[in-house]
Amino acid sequence: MSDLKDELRQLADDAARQARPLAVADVIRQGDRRHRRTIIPRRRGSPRAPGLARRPRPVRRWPGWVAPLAAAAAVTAVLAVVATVRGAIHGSGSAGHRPAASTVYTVYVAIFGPPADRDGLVPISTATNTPSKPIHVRGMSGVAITPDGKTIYVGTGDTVIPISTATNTPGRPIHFRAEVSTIAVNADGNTAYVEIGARSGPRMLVPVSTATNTPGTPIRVRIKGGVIAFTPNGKTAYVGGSGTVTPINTVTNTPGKPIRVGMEPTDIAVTPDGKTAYVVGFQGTIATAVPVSTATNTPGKPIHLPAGGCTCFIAITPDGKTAYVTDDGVTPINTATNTPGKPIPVVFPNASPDEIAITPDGKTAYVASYGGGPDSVVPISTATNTTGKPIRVGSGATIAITPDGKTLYAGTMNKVVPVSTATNTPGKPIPLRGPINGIGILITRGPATSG
Amino acid sequence: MDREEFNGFYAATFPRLVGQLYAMTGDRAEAQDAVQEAFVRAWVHRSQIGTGRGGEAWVRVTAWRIAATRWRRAREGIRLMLLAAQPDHAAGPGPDRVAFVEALRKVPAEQRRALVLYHLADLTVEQIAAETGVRPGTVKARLARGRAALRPYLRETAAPVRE
Repeated sequence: MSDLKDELRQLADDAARQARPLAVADVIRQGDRRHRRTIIPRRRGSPRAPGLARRPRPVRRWPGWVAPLAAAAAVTAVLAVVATVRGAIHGSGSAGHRPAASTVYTVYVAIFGPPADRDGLVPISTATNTPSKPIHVRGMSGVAITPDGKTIYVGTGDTVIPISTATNTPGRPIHFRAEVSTIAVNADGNTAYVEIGARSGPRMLVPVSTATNTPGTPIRVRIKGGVIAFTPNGKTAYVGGSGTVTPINTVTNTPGKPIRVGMEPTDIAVTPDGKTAYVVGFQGTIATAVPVSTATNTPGKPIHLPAGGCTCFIAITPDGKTAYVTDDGVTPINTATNTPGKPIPVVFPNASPDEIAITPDGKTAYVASYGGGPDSVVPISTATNTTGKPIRVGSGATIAITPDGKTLYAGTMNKVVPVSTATNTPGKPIPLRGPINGIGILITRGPATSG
Repeated sequence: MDREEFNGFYAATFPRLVGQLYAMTGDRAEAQDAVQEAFVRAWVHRSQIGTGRGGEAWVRVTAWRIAATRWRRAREGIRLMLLAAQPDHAAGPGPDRVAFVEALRKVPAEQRRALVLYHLADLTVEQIAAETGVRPGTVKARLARGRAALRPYLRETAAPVRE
């Protein structure tokens, strides 16, 4: 037909020839194990949301061309929501919107195109929930905010641009020798760590002083996909990549010996007491969590997660007692015994949980869930590990909770939805317009989900 | 679907689906991982899917969803993964191919997905609409925009639209 078809065909054929499938027996074994662990516990009658308890679960058959999961698949544009304390106490100006004593935050929505020239940050004041003038950052890669909320670092090309949140204006770019991907700011706020390197080449982590915005000596370390976490005292960074986690002394910026964790790390979280770093990730289709003692930097016994094959997220409650891991369900891990609890099924059959955020009071874990039903954010009571009624926000939600715990912001493909954590009801969606029209064409859903 | 049927289905469709997912995602390792995981889920849900084209579509949609999730999770690396990714050297592509791959990676994912379903999976616009959950008009628009974006890299792109 056309050259386009030929080009695509050759491309696909190359990849098809080099495809290396697992033995079918392994696939079946994985599947059977998952079936036992996830399906059967659910049938035993895990507590379900009251509102959904009597809803008959549809038996779905997919003959022909009905594609069950298509609605969830629309993701190229990514929205990252970061909340920053602006230090401002809500004044009399817009007293009608929120209680007078509420702290006002700015939620920055990071818009990644395409097209790349639509990339940037959209500031939204929580006082009015209306977007302000966007800050354009063409070809934006990583984005991170300092703990004091005063500076946002964004990567683009070989540079990192500091943006003052007081003025929303970009500062002088910081130059690097290779392309910037992830940025993470240490808990002490003194250093931003910038992952650089060509995608296929070796990657390095460059410490940047946040006081002077000058880069230090690059640290050679196995890092992949920006998996990095800091101890609460800011003295150690844990960096994941290539089956290992490497501790980095943030005072001297020297890496320690890589700790083998037996899987590809996808997320790391350190307990509030700083004693344990939990590393989650997958090997093939097996997902595990590995507790690493920060005192000795030795890995504990891997905790097997029921779903497997995931690129999991982990969040730890403020009291440090429970770690929640999102796989195909949500698995609570008792951090005292390092034993996994019964997986908490997300509300819709076949739905997959994604990002997770826990309120500052530790009472509720919110999980962005997609597929198997309308994409939603599902609240989980940490006291009972039961799910509440799903909050419908739209496809592909990325979530963040304000530091006061009052509002959850869910960023989706074309809007940001504020959700009251007191009532778990979505507020008026904040449309993302104007300079980010490019995102609209990426929405794959049919009729918009209400709410 | 019993074990033997699944085995046949797996062997017959795995490489093809990896090829399609590669063209959709622009990342070979990602494509392989996503298809692999989708087949594990296919075994779990085997009672609900068949071994025919419906089964293949199920695995493809699931693999796409898995790949899309991973992009989102690696959100800070997304631009590296999708737009600035270096061409794979394993295939030893010529300069023209490199330019085409680069161009393809710059096409928005849903347009690329539509192009792949249309040209590689040989689906009709209606079938693509069903698989991607949008209206046929949207599929046509995506195909047109995707082709327009790639036109400079191709000698000739006039292709009649199957209905």
